[in-house]
This record gives sequence, structure tokens and C-alpha cells, in this order.
Amino acid sequence: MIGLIAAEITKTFKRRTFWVLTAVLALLTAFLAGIFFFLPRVVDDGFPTIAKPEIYIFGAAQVLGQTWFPLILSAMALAGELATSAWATALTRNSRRGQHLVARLITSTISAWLAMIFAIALFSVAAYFFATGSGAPTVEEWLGVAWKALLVQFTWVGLGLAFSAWLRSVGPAIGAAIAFSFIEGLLLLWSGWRPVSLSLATSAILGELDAGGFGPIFGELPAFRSALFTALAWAVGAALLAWAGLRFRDA
Amino acid sequence: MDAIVVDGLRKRYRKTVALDGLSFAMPTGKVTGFLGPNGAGKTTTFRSILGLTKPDAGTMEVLGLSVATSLPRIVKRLGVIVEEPGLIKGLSGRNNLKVAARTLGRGKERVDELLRFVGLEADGRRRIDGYSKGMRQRLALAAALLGDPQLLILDEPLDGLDPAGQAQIKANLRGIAAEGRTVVVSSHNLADVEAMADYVVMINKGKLITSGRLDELLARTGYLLDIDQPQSAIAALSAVGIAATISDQRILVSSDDGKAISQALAAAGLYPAELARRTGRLESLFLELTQQ
Repeated sequence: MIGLIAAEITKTFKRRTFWVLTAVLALLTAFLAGIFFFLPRVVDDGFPTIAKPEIYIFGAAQVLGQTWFPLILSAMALAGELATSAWATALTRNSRRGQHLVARLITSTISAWLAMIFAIALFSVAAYFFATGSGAPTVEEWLGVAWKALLVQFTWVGLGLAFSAWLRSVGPAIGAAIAFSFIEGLLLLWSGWRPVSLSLATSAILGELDAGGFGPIFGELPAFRSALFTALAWAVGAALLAWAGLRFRDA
Repeated sequence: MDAIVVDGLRKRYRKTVALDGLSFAMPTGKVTGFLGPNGAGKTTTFRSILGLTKPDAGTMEVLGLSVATSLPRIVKRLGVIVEEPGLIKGLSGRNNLKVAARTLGRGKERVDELLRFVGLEADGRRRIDGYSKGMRQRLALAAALLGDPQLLILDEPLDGLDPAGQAQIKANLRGIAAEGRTVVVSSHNLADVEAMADYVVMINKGKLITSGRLDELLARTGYLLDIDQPQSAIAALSAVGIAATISDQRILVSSDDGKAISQALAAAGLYPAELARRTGRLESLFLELTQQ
């Protein structure tokens, strides 16, 4: 298992894809910072201004909303190999499909988390220099950001792997995951869906991060514990779905 | 002990029968050529043995272990190239070998040694996207050797290679076989298999056509007979003491006396569409047995 994780780490960090995705994330973060730090200075009024210390947590929440990152990374890790003979070849070296899946789940989650932490740090440095106000989040608040970020990445990586295992091609897997995200958002219009909604659970987990007056659109967020359970259930369900897609279909 | 024993293997893809009760054994410590025309079921057989596809029926043993119950233990003792080299795009040759070594649960100690063995030490740090097909095949062979395997299973390792690349791979395989390992090679290039193999398993339409030591198979002489009434022809030949057997709707006559064969058939009022001399080449044997 350790060997499989080491192999995934080599594949992730020695290829350009991860670094290109991280560069795009950094650019988007810089763009976001530009909007929040400089736009209020040139727009006369009507644009919300978020000052320190809230701006740090708000920026983190915006970065963590970039779910495309874990989706693409996980699709590259699994669908990219299922679409070629690389997956079959990997199974001729270690035939345990579940171990391959867990290694990808762990590596993609931690890789995505590291990229998110980097982007949050980037935003925070910009905020330190350019945002108005004073003060900073406590160490506990930063630790909260860190573990919540890990949970969010875990959930979306799991979904990316599930779509990859069944669709077996990078493009369709990413497309289906984005479509899922869109449809899941639309389902929030139906009150019966809200208790099991992943996006609502994610918002609730990030709850205190959701600063700056951009609160929930669909009424009250679920309680924190309930949201945590929902997100974990989605992550585990997605991982099981991915396992089934690998276990019961030919390599 | 045989390296691979397959018994009654069946696999159907919707309406297509890929394997139809295939049974054979491949000996340990030899180079075995696994032959058959396109669509014969060679790759499906390999995929079944490696657990990449689940057969509908049949049993398989590799290195004395059951594939159904001991696949994780089996694959640790194998080196495999199946269908394509199975390399990771975007990584260098060296990093591809590192990934393979780690997937096997091994260290990277043998990476440089194997890059040298396949003649890629100068290109090891280049991304494989810029490799030729021959270089990729050689790298895949190096990856297959990383686990110091007892049994190498190579599906079309010479496919698409230029003559220099083929010569390199053949030299590598001869070296591996000389170390006493078992090598199973499927290939369309029968001259290459003839030059390398000690043993041959030939299949067609998912069934075994023939198997045996290559020198014994090629020592078979006699005639090949194409005739409308094969059972009557066998009876007519048997009556004059000439042995004959049906192989895939053709008759293999063991006698070298063409005149006696013609006379026996004519006496019975039987006239063959073709009476051809069998030659001691693998290609001739392959073509006659698979009716190509």
C-alpha cells in the first residue's frame, strides 16, 4: 500500500498536469484578490468591501469553492489510466483494485489539499498587504480551515474517482462531475433534497468561513454535525461506487 | 510442473465467442510461442490469466497457483506486457520505471541496471512522449523485468517495431531465457517465434489447434489433404496402411509417399481438391492448421 501511494505521488508531482492546474488555481486566486482588494477602490459604490480579519476566512472559502481542481486531478489519476492500457498494466503488478483506488483517493486528496493551502496562503499574503482593516484569524481558526479543506477535497476527489471508474475517460468523467455539481445545485430548489445536499453540507461545514454577507441563498444551513455526516456519507458512497466500477468491470 | 495450465476456458463478449473451451499447458523454463490468427483469443487468454477479465468458465493455474484464489501472489512473480506497453504519459522513462517498481512494492535499485539492459540509459531522463515505439517497447520490457519475475508474459512484444528494435528485443528475450526463466510470447511474426521458441501453443477461434515442442512439430512431414469426404478418405488411406487425421476440417496424412496416397484415394473414387506437401517451417504449419 505504501508502495502504491509512493507510485501515485511520483505520478502526481512529476507530471506537468498538477503544476499547470495549480498555476491556474493561483491565477484565479490572484484574480479573486484583485476583485476584492482593488475593485472597491475604482468602483464608486455598491461593491462590498471585506476588511481584515474576515477577508482571510472569506478568501479561504472562495478558494475551497474551486471544486474543479479535485475533480480534474482525480479524473487524471484514474480515468486517464483507464482510458489507456496503464490501468491494466498496473493490475499486472498489484492485482488488488481496492488498494489502487485507496492510493489514488489518498494521494489526490492530499495533493488537492496542498494546492488549496497554497492558494489560500497566496490570497492571505495579498490580503495582508492590500486589504483594509487589521487583525488576523486565530491559530484555531486556521486549523479549522485546514481540516475542513481536507474534508472538502476528500469528498470531491471521491466523486471524481467514481465518475472516472464508470466513464473511463477523462473528458466525460469531468463533464459528468460538473453536470452533477450543477444538477445537485438545482435540486436545492426542492426542500426534500436539502438534508442530503452535498453543496449545502459543504457550505455548512465551511459555515463560519462564509463571511462577508454572502450567506446561504436557500434558507438555514443544516447543523454542523449533520453536514459533516452528509459530506462523509457522500465521500464514502462515492468511493464505494468507484470501487464497484473497478471491481466488477474488465480492466 | 508446468508454468501455465489452462483447462476448459470459456469467454463470451455478447454474441462473440472469444474462448471456446480452451485447454493447454505451457512448460516451465522454456520460451513458449503463443500463436493464432487475429481474433483467435490470444489476448483474451492472457487477460484471463492475469485477472483483467473474468472468464465465464474454466480453470487456470500459473506457477502452480490457482488464478481464482491466488492472483495477488501470482502477479508478484510475473513480468507482463499486455496489448500495449502501458506506460504513464508525461513521465520520463526513468520515472516510469520508478512508478512500476513502487507499484510492485520494490525499491528503485534496479532502475538504472534495467535501463542499461534495454539500451535506454541515455534516454532515461527524457519524457516518454518523445520516445519511438521501439523505445517504449524496450522500456516496457525493462518494467516487466523489475520484479525479477519467474514468468514473463509478453503480448506482441515485437509488434510495430523496426528491424533494429526487433533485433534488440529478441536479443533481450534470448538473454532472459538463458537465465532459466519462463517466457511466453505471442506474436504474428512466425519467423521470430521460430527463432526464439522451444515450445508452441497454437489456437484458433478460441480453441487449441496444436501444442508441443517446436522441433517435434516441425519434424512432422507428410501431406495436407483438402477433400469433400474426409471420413471416406481417412478410411481409404487406412485400408492401405496410411495414417491420417482430421485437423480443423483438413486431413493431415503422415505418409511421405504422395503416389501411394493418390492411388489409394483414386481406388476409392475420391479426388482431392488439393494435395500439398507439408514443409518443416512454422509458418507453413501455422497456415495449414489455421486454414489461412
